[in-house]
Amino acid sequence: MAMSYSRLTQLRLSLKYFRRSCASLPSPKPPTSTPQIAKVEHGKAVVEEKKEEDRVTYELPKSIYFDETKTGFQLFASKKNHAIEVISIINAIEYTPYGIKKLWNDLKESKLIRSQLYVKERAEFLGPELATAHFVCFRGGKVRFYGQEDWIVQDPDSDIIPNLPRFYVESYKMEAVDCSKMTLIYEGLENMKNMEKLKWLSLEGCPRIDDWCLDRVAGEYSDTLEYLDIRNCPLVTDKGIASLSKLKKLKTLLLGGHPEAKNLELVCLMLEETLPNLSIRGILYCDESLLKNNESNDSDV
Amino acid sequence: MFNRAITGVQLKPWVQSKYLVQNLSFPVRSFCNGEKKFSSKKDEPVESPSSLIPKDFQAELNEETRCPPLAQPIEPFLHPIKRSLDVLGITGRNDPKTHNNLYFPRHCDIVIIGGGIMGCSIAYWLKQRGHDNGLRVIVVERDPSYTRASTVLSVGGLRQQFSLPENIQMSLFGAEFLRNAKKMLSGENLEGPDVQFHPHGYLFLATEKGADQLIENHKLQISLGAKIKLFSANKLKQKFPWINTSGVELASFGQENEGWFDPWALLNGFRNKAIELGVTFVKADTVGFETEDMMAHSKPGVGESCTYNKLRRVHVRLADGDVRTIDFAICVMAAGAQSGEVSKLTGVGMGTGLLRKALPVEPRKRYVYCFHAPDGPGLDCPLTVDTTGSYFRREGLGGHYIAGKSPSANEEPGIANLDVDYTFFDQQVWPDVAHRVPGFENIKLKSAWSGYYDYNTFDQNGVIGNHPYHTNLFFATGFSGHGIQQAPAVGRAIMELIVDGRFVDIDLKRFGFDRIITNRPVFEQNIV
Repeated sequence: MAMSYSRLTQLRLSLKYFRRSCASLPSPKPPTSTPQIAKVEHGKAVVEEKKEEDRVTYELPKSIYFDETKTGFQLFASKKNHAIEVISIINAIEYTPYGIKKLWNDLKESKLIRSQLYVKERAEFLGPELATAHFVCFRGGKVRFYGQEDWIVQDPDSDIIPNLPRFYVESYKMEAVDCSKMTLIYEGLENMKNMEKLKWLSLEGCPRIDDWCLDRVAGEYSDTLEYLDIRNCPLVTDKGIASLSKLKKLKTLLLGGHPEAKNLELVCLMLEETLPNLSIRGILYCDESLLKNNESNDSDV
Repeated sequence: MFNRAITGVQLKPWVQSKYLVQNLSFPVRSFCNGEKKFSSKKDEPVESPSSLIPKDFQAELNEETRCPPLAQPIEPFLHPIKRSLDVLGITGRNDPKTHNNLYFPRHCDIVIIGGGIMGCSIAYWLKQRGHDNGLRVIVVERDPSYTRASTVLSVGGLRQQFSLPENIQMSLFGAEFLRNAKKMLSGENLEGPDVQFHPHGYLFLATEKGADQLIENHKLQISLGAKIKLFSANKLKQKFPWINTSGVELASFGQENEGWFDPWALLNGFRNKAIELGVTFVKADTVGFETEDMMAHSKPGVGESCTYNKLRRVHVRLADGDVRTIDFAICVMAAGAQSGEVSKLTGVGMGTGLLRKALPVEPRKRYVYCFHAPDGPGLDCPLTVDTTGSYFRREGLGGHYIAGKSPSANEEPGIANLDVDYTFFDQQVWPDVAHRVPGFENIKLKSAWSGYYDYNTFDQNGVIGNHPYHTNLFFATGFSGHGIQQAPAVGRAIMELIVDGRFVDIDLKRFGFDRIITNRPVFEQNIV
């Protein structure tokens, strides 16, 4: 028959171990044997005598812990890193409008990042092509596979994605991905890796695509991509567009709507030089109206 | 690695503080495939301390460690009325002696010697953790215009192609931080820096001799999450038609997260954010340290109690010659190329026993040349490191390129000033790059500059960690040319060492000061 110790005794013992662990740092765990309380044995309460050996000193020589630095701040550190809780409780919450706005934005941002993280199990189960398809279609994008003519898109009323298998099928190879107007972020692009023959990619109107995302796209599909659409991505600059020179098979590039890109025409000229098959649409290299004015002036003279 | 955000402490929203605690568990997930945290202790059996030390050092280390007498305590004369006004903050605001015009701080928790990229990064991370008044941090920087600092004169490269796992992990973290720099380093009235990252990659070329080393390095880099691709000579010629592949057996090219950025922007970003978080920047030169006798208590059976000299106070000289003192609990040595000199002031290298070995960091001058080549590689030119050690990269869109080379040991230029030697370009750099890229035969040298590497003469890798005797003196220096990309990671590592007492995210134990005392260098395997 087990004996249950009173709650007070439990608290008293836990406090004793807590005090001891605070005093010496770092302290080993207190002995996990049952505390010396009355144990029911043979129907009689027997209190174990406190033996001399049980009085363990919790202060072991510091030479064992030669790899840990000794600073005063370590009193607040532990393996579970309680320091974060201690500091956050000590410090006041920022009640200024800026602070609250920042808190709210950071929460939303971390939620977005977590929702688009790379899920290893999905890729392992479905294979990379179908995993990408599920990822993209679930968020409102469209995909197209080799050998099929229609785009696969999620039904807006229900959550069903028709014609998309939910288990690994080897013959499905991705040809085109349309991510226009999705809030796709850098961490989300990691879900679209390891596709063998992707030819067509549209990131039109994605507000969060910037140079780092283009770097990732260029590095990932450097051997296969032939069509890329990055119109109306406000964060893209000419450095990101210059990194598209890594896409050796690129044939068509659609640009436009990049207020941050300063030397867009020059970068595009140089890009066309590097990639001979490339044709860039959406760039005006020279202003036609200026030419017309010159012609009319010449004709007068 | 950084999985605290997913599996860590669950904080209730109303308990979270101003500088969002989630910043501390920095989301380094994009390359984290990591259950595996690299630990240097995993494979080797734990060695007893006596076997760590080679035999010829036993005698040295059995001797008593004695710290030489350092600076004598001084009582700087402060006029009593001025001092009261300073303390009240009335006149201190216009005092030109301190950089941000507050009264001169007499004490702090952590003093950081050196306000370059390392110092500012450490200050930023410490204040991120220590919030408003949790930690008081002072940065002592002798030249706030950074005329001779290595940070602003650096080429600003970011690469993951190293052979040591710690270096690779630090660079991966650096890339992640740079990507989020605008968000992390922005504040209420502060716009985050635009680090101007050019994602063009690094290209390392290897001859037959170095090909095996390149393949080994590549395996390690891939396993840690870097995206590097190997090219044979033929494939390389297809990818970069402007390159001359004679002598090249194998090449490795970084597909993602490699390139170059603007170090000035990052430095300003760190510095301004640190100032906003409450770090005091003091414009002064370090001239001495003061110690105090402290008892080192020991447990029964371990040894006797003894006294040791603990660093308590630093003497700094202001612009007008005044010497003032700052009391500190912890000192961080992030003085860059001058770290070796400054750490002598603390007794490191001037005493006996554990203080016998000096910090082996000294300035080494390196040249960078800028030239114009109309027939050059074009837009897809990565930062190419040739088999001879010369490197070049594109600069801007006007056909300009930057090139340089590390000189061999007997050709080291003098460090007295930052003058440029143009004959080095004609004799050493240009022949190599012209051989590698035929388009560089017709060039015009436009300009050049030089800067100091904080060169670690021991093994050319950073020294990160505290000194075994001066346990409150932390080093973050000696990066020998690849410090700028590791600055965010080093700042975070020092912050973790100081506050948590151990490395939490990236295990940098192998880069500690102990390797200098036990004479165990940790070399980067360079590719030939």
